[in-house]
Amino acid sequence: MNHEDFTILMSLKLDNALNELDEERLNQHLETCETCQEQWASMQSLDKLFTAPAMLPAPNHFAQDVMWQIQRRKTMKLASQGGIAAIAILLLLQVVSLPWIISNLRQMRQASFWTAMGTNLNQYLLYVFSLFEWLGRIGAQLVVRLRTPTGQIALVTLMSVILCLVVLWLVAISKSSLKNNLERG
Amino acid sequence: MNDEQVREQELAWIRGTLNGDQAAFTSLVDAYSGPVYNLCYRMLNNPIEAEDAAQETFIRAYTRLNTYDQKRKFVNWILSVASHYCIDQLRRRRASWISLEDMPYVQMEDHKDGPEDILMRTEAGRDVQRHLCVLPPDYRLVLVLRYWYQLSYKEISEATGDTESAIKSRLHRARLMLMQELQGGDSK
Repeated sequence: MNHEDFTILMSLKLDNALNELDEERLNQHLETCETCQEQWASMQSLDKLFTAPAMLPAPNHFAQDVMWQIQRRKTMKLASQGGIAAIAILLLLQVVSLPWIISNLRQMRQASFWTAMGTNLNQYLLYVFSLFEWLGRIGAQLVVRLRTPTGQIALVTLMSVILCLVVLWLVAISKSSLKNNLERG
Repeated sequence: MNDEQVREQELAWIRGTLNGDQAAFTSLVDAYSGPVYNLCYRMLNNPIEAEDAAQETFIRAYTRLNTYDQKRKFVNWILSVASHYCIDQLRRRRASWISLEDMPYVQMEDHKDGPEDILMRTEAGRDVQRHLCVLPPDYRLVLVLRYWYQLSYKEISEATGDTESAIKSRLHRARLMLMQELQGGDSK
């Protein structure tokens, strides 16, 4: 064993992790080796410096601050989930309105359509409001139920489906518009 | 209260927290805020960063409490959470090797009447903290866990996620580095 090996044993001795055999070996070596005696004295001084060091107390109101932070993060998480649900609801609204819009696309270009719309506005608003009511209920359920890992995946899937439908809808509108322009041309 | 009663109380708080009782978690924070803050301060050497780190530790503990193995001591688990957070912070800060001459005393004077100021008024307390900051984060951590919390090699290895032999070696090297630093300081 060299000096380096004995310093390892010294460190273990300070931690009370030295077996009897190694302790005996270290003690015998310390009796004869001056270099290691110095090293051991330094190590003991260091150990003394760090023995029973002061434990710092936490600042005042620490627990209240932690609880406030937890509450704030919960609220932020809920708000972001609510935001996602709101976007989903808006997209759903567009998707649900899609068949109605497509079926009335040609008529919408005519002035008579808007006159008729004015007459039927009351019925239309009722339709939209009832739709909102149902979507609002679905959104609220989403916020509550989709707070699990599986729920999050379901939400992302639903969002992706809605986005695809919206893209398809936009493509359909642009195609229809292009066709009309070609017919007119 | 004896150890067993303390443990029972601690488990009751943990179960309460898992069942949504926020007051139970407040009690856990109150009970362990001292050890966690102390570890963060020893590691980061800055009272504001230490407070933020200690808060973050408890927030992480709150959100991950369902992963806590109830066979382990709660204090060791939360110290492990704090350790990982502090190591990450120090790696980000990239200030693991600071020479004694560069140690920022001004930092301590910015927060008068804080617990760390009281500590820094004593020469031994100041020396200990200054010497700790000489060590790289991983070495500093094992030394703090060993001397401040009297954790065994096994407990330190559980807290840090390293092997026991790595802990022994790190603790030994940390001591050698400190000895060199002390000898260097004496000769100046």
